[in-house]
Parts: sequence; structure tokens; C-alpha cells
Amino acid sequence: MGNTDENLVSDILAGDVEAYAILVKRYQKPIFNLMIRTTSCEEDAFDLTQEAFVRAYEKLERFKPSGRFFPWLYTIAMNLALDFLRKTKTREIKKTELYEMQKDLSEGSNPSKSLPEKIDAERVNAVLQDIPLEYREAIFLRFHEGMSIREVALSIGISVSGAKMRIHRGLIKLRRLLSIENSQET
Amino acid sequence: MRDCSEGHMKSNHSKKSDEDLHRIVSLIEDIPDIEPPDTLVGSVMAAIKPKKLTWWKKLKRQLQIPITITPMKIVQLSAGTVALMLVAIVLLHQIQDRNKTTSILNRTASAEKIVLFTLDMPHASNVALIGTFNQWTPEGYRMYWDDQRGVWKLSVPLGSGRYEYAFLIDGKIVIADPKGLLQRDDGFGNKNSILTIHKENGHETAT
Repeated sequence: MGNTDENLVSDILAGDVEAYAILVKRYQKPIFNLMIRTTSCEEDAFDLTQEAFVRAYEKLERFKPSGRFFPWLYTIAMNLALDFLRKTKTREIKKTELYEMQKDLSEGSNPSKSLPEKIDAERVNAVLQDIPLEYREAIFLRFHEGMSIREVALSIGISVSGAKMRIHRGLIKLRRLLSIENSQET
Repeated sequence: MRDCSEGHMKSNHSKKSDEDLHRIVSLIEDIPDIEPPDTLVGSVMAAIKPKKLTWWKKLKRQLQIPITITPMKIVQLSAGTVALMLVAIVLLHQIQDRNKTTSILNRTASAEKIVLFTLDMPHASNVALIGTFNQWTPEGYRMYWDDQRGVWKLSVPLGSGRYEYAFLIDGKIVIADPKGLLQRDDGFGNKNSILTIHKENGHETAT
């Protein structure tokens, strides 16, 4: 019996509160980074991360041992992040709605400009901030956290086909934004 | 490229597009993560309390855990057999709980003495015990609020020796134990409390 997430959850539910510290240590980095991407403020990110873990602890009885803990935790954190945006940046939500309607995101659309030769991970990260949260996080979970499409869908609370669509559209939009930056620079 | 057919151009476009996406994906993998502050774990732990789960909820949970069954002959189970299996699972749980308690007792027996630290600080949001026994780190030494007594408390198993300790209030302020008899300057303008555990007639006593 190692310190698997499932074993730790069982220990916590049996009253071993300290076992939760191991889960917090294990997943604090991706959750904190989600909140940094959402708030662009370390203090707000700290508070939201703390709240996400406290909420997860309070709801731990509802976690199904057959599932994975991280996607379940991420769903809670995503809801908090969206609540934060609803309260502070109403435009963000409108941005998401507009995004869904944009024609240039349809499959098969080709970039009119080429991707710059010199781009790095930090530049990509900066441009990702301009993409609505649900798209950005689908991309992050898939390619940065290495989740399967099914887990991405679970984490964001959408269908598998919805997750695929968001990842694909998000990537196309990202390429377009990076290409526009390139054309403006040259 | 003037002599390229439209189809060929489209194919080149598509190839370039795929290459771009692959490049973006590999860059996303490399995006650096920001390290969360060291105090994050402590602040989460300070905000939660141990859970109490009833035995039937434990049983329900145990039954939810997927088990691997190797292919075998189909055995017809009577209702009585199923009932016996359920009783066995409950008993197994109780034995596991007893083992857990025993292991805690063993841990404390080797540590020789349980020292109960208390602090009367009702307005604090969280309090942690720090000292020479935990290298002055609050992690795992969060104190619990006792509603009945109106104090923060934490029991720590300690062997004989001399210890310095203090309380960390809300992750910021460090104070010595107001009830402690002995104190010592920490050299940074704060005071630490001193606790000595003696061995007398084979038993430990704290002063």
C-alpha cells in the first residue's frame, strides 16, 4: 500500500487529516498555476488555491475511489476560477461566447501568416492568456499536464467531443495569434 | 512556386500548418511553472478539521473501490453467504482501525511522552507549533481549535531533552508560550519558550 491518491483519500476519510497535506503538496503546483493564469496576481492565486483545496476536502466523501483525484480536484478549481472571472472580469465570459461563434476557428482554416521562427515557451504562455479560460485550460491539461482527452473532458466538465473541439480550436487560435504578432513585428 | 498547382499549394499549406501546431504543442510542454509559496500547504491544513466517518459510510466506500477478479468458475452465492461476506468486511474494517490505533500507540510509546501544548488565542485564524523538535517548520504541526476549552491545542510525542519552542500565529507572528515558565531570547528580538523533559525513575516529567 503506497501513498497513492486513493489510499490517501481513504486515510483522510478515516480521520487522518495529515494525509491531506501529501495530496496538497502533490497537486499545489498545477492548481496554483491555473489560478495565476486566471488572476495574474499571486495573492489572489494563493487565496483561490487554498479555497480549492479546502472545498475539495469538504467534498471528499463525494469523490469516487474508482476515478482519478487530480481531474476531480481540477473541476473544483476550474469552477472557482470561473466564479472569480464572473465577479471580476465579466468581459472574459463574453469573450468565451464570442469565441464560440467565430467563423475563422472552423476546422480546416489555414493561417494566412506564418509562425515566427523565433518563439519560445514564455511567448506562447503570454499569448495563451488571450484565449478564454475553458480553451486555454483544455490545452494546458492536454499538453502541459499530459492528461488524456477523457480526463480533460472530466476536468472541465464537458463531453469528450467537446474537449477535442476546444483543444483543436484553441490551438488554431493560438497559432493565429502568434502569427499576427509575427506580422506586426516584421 | 508559381508553377505549383492549387492542390499542391493546399497540401503545402496543410503540412506547414501541422508543423506549426506540433511546434506550439512542444512549446506548451516547456512552459515554466511558477512555484507556489511554501506557506500554501500550511494555510490549507490550518483551514480543515479531521473527518468523522460513520461505519456504514466506510463500508459503502469500501464497496466502491474497484477490485480485480481473476476468471474462475461461477459460484452461486446464497443470500446467507452474501450477508456473511458483508459482516466479514465490517469486521475487517474494525480490525484495520484497531491496527491503526495500535500503530499510533506504538509510535507514542517509543517517543516516551505526550506533551499537550495549548494556547489561548481565540482571534487567531490559525496557529502552528514550531520549535527545535521540528526544525522550526510549521508543516504537520498545525494546532487544532478546541471549541469546548476555547484554546488551540496540539499533542506532540517528545523524548527526554531540552526543547525550545514558540507559536506561529496566522503564519506571520511568532510568540513564546504565555504560560511557559522559562524563556530565552532568540537573538532576533523574539522570545522562545523552553521545555525540559527529564527522566525520573524510568518516567518522563516535563518542566
